[in-house]
Amino acid sequence: MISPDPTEPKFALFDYIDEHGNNDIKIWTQGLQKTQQAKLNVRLDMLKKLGTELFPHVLTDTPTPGIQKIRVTGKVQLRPMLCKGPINNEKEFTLLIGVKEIGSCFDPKKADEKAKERKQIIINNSNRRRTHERVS
Amino acid sequence: MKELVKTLVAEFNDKEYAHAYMEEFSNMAIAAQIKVLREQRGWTQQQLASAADMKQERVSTLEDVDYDAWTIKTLRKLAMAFDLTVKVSFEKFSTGILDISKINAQSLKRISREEDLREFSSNAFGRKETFWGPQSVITMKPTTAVRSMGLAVNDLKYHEPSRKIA
Repeated sequence: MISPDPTEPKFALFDYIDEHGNNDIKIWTQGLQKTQQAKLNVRLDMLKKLGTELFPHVLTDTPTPGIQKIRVTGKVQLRPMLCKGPINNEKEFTLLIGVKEIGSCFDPKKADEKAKERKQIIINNSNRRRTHERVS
Repeated sequence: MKELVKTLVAEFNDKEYAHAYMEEFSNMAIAAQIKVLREQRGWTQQQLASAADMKQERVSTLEDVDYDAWTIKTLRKLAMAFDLTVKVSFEKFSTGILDISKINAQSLKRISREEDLREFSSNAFGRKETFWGPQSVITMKPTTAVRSMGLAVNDLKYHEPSRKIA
C-alpha cells in the first residue's frame, strides 16, 4: 500500500466571483507589484500545501468571526481575507476579498464585513467561486 | 505537488519574483523550524528562551512567520540551545524549489547532537542511510519507494538496480 504523498497539497483554494462572473481576487492581485505577488503566492502555496499546521501565524483573525486574513508585510501591507470552506471546511479555503492595510485601517473599509457577506453568497450559491487563479 | 514545482520553475524565470518568493519562503521556513524543534523537544517558549539566553517574547517573535531580520548570531544561539549546528550556504534555485515542495513538520525535525552521533555511529557512519547502498533492503519498485518515503526523485542519485536485493 502506498502512503499518502506528503508533497501533495492538503487543501484546495478558491476565489470569490462577483455577480458579473469576474474573479475579484485575480483582478486585485494583478494590481500588485511583482514582489508583492511573490510574497502572497508563497503564503497561498503553503496554505494550500499544509493548511495552518506548520505556519499557524499565516492566518490571523479579523473583527468578524469566521473571516481571517493573510498578513503579507512590506512597503504595502496586504491583508487579503478568506474563510475556511465554506462548502467543505476541512479541505478548502476561499479567498473573499483583496485588502490592503493603511494606517491600521482596511482598504476597502469594512472589508471584513464585506468578506462575510461574500462568504454567505458562496454558501447560498457555490457557483460564486472558482478554483484559485494564480497571478505572477 | 509536481504542479507547484513546474509552476515555480516557470515563474522563477523572473529574477525579481524568484528572489522575493525565496526570501519570503526562507523566512517562513526558519520560523517554522524553530517552533518544530522546540515542540520536538517538548519545550515551552520560556524553556527555549532560558536555554538560548533570550526573553520569551523574543522567541515568540522569532517563531512568527513575519520575522525577517535574521542574523547568524541569533541562529547560532538557537543552535546551541537545540544542540544542533547551523548550516548557511548559497543554493541553486532548483534546490530551493525542491525544499518548498518537500517542506512539512517532519522534514524540519532534527535530533540533537548526542542522539544523532549515537545513531550515526551505529549506522556505519551514514553508509546504511544510502538509499541505494548495499545494505538497503528494497522489495518494492523504486518509484513506489520514493513516493512512500516522501522524497523527491531529483534528490536521489540513480544507480542501476540490477542486483537482486534480498
